[in-house]
Amino acid sequence: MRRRLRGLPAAVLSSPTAPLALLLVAAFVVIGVIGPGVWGDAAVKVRPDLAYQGPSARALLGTDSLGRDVLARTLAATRLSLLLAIAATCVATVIGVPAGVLAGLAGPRVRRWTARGVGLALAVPGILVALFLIAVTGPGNLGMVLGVGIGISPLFARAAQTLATSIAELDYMAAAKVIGVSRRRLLTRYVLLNTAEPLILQIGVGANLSLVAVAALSYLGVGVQAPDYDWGAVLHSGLEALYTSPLAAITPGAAITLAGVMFSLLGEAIARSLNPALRIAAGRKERTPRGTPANDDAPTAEKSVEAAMDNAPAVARIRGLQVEFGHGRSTVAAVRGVDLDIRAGEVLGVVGESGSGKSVTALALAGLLPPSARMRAATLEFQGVDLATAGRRARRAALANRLSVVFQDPMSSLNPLIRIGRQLTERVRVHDGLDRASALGRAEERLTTVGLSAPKRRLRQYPHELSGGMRQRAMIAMALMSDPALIIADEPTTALDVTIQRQILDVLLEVNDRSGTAVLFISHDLAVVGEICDRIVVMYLGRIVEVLDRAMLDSPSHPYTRALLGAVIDLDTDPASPLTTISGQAGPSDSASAGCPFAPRCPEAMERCRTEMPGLEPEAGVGHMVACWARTTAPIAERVG
Amino acid sequence: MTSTTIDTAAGTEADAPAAARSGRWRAFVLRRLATIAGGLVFLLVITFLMIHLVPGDPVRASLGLNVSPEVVAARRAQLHLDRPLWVQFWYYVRDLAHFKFGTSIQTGEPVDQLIRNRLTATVQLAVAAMALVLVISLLLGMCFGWLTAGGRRRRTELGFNLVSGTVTAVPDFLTGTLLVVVFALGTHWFPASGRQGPQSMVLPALALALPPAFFLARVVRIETVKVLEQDYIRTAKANQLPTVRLFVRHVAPNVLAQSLTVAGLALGGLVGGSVVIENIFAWPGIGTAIVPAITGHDYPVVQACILVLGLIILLVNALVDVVLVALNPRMTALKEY
Repeated sequence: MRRRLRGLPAAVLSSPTAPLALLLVAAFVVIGVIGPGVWGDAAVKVRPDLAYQGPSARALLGTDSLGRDVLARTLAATRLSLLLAIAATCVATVIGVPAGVLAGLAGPRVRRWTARGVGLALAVPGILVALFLIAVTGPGNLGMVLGVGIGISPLFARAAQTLATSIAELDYMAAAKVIGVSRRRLLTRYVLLNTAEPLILQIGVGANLSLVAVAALSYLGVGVQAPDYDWGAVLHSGLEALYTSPLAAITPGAAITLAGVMFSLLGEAIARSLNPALRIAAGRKERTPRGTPANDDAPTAEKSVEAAMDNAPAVARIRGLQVEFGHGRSTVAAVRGVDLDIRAGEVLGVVGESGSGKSVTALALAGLLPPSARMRAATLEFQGVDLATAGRRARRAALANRLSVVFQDPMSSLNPLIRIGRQLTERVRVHDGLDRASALGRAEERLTTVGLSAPKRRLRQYPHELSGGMRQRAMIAMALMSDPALIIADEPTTALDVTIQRQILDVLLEVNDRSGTAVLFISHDLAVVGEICDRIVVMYLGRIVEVLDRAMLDSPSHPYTRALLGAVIDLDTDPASPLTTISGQAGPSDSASAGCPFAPRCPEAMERCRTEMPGLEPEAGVGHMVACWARTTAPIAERVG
Repeated sequence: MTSTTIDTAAGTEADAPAAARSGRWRAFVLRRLATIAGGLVFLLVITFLMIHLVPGDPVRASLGLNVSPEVVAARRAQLHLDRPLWVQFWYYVRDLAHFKFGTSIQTGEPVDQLIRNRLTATVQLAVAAMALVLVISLLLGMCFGWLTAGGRRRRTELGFNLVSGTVTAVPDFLTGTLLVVVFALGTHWFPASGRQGPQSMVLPALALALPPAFFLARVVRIETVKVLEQDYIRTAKANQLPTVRLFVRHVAPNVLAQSLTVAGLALGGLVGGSVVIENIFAWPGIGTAIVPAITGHDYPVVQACILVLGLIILLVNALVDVVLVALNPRMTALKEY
């Protein structure tokens, strides 16, 4: 339906609250037009004998102190109330918009000062400005409308200033010119529509504020003067009758509220209709149905895995880890059954494209999955404690002092409002009960370890006073504070300069060297991983496809690993070769499809690959495992030849 | 240590902002003081000019038509209205500096006496309401922000938005009326009007606080959801901090820093609302003094009341700024403030 209607009315209708807004507008317009004519006489008929009465057939919502029909008075007052509010809004627009536009087009210095002035003016409630003006002009409509209008104008001035500034800058104007849009269309379609939206939104809010302020002033007795009456005046006489018939006060109050809501909704609906982005968002409301438990993947054959992994003591043992995001049909399986051991003191690299589940696996171990994630695991063991079955307290205790995480972006991973010293010491003070002085002493020592100059001063600084590389060093120092058994480094150098990357890697390696801390190094960069890691795990679409030692990196078995390696090393590769398939999309494959997830992109895919999932099987070579039918089915000799 | 040597270069680069910090602080304080001084001067000029903006003769208007010209002349001389404008302004400022607001035309009572009596009541009500606004909005907003973080519990979010939107849309005078109907006339828990004991403050403070509190709660919820998605919260979680500590030390200051600018506006608006609420609840503050003064053309009283209410708003704004800067070390670097 939205498609067939054209222009503004159609667009207004497309907003979700638009029907309500239009209904209210229609009702108020009709009542406003016919109100004084239809109910005017009943509204002013004084019947002292009927004063302070509750609802009755004669007066549906009761009477006030003079026996006047409250409902009739409220309906008859609609016209004047709305006209006064609209008049005040017009005053505010006439004053605020030109002022804002002028300020917006002025130089940056003037702009800053006017912005500051407008900011201060915004803090002054409109009703105070109105009281001031009424004091000058004397009680009555003129002073009230002018005062409320002036009082609300800063709101419009600010919106107009933003508008004017954006017109002056006009980045998208240039873009539109490039794609060849006519001048007139450019102005109406791009400039006005794109910038008028916040202003119209503000005008709706402003009309609401005007209405309430006008009613308040009339209630106070300094606005509309007898014999005229608006909702505020009706409210005033209603409050006198409050003790005996509360409806006399509530009725006009409700009318004011409803009309205010109408103004706001109308502004919102028009603004929405002008903003194409919002319009689309409104039309495409997403629904996320609940329920439907995730389908189980076949549990991996644990026995063979167990046999293949050598018996070096493991810091962490993960078996059958599965993680999903979303609900029902929109469920995305990020990790689909991962088995992994992290050995004490090793540097274990996990590589894969984004979406391969490498970060999610690590976050699951650290208990840092976002609330929208659902996790299942046969075993999720850290230092002998099964995190999957342990209670919250036990889990926290197990992780608190022995597992640390260094995140990707040091610029955002430190709390901007807290000094480095406090952030570093917080963990050991909470969990080890260290006192402030010794905690700070340790922090200083750790900062020295990671090579930060002037560690004492750093402790007193805020994150924004440090450069990116320094912050990442601080993050590593934070990770070291509790002498962890494992540091998870989630792409710790991706957000940094190339020159800084090397330094950060060195710091990590040195920590591993010196204190035997295991490092789980997550990266999409196979070259870096090959350089610093003892062992490498390759992940693809939530599964481990190959596990191999660094020494074997030159001759990996899995086609995906080889393609990755090709992408790293061989710069002369013909772009038409299978390599380009790799750089293509690894969309989350249909969980219903039974075969190897890499099969659609695999140059060596066989019939079996599309119908049956290969398990992670031991290969020749110590600790080498691969999940590929092309490898595990064929005898080794045949493949080599 | 392979990396120490390289780091010194980065070190000096990061020292520059540290050295400039005090300078930026001074600039920030000066900018804020200038803005506040500007507001103050504006307030003085406008209240001073009020009496001159009144069409006709304000003295005549306030004394009535059947007063002899001698009395009018004497009154004018008493108000310094026979002197040049700038001299009058000087007298005006000088008198204010000595806390002299003149005498009420209606009652003959010194205005400073009147202000003194009523300021306490207004400040009491305003402070109680502001405290309510902050407590309600922060607790509700952070609580629901936590519950609905990451797009969880869509229905809770919808319900919260509906309820808070409704409370926000109802003007404070209707909130006040409804509170009186339910809690004073209905249950007799609290007095409906007057200022006797702390109980009498409950309803007016609530009426004044509820609309801005729920408006702010919406802002706080959105900011909480945003803060909870930040990387530094993940860092804090990685440090296995208890939930309460996480909220108090890491979430709350950031949420506060993000919502405080809006909060300042809401608290300023609350001062305007107090005029209406005081009249509904017959609260003996500035708001109940200014209305009869306006209808009675009692200009000295109106001047003093506007001046005092304006000062309260300036003060609230200054306080919000101080808290903002105390919370956020980066604030001083922003030129807009």
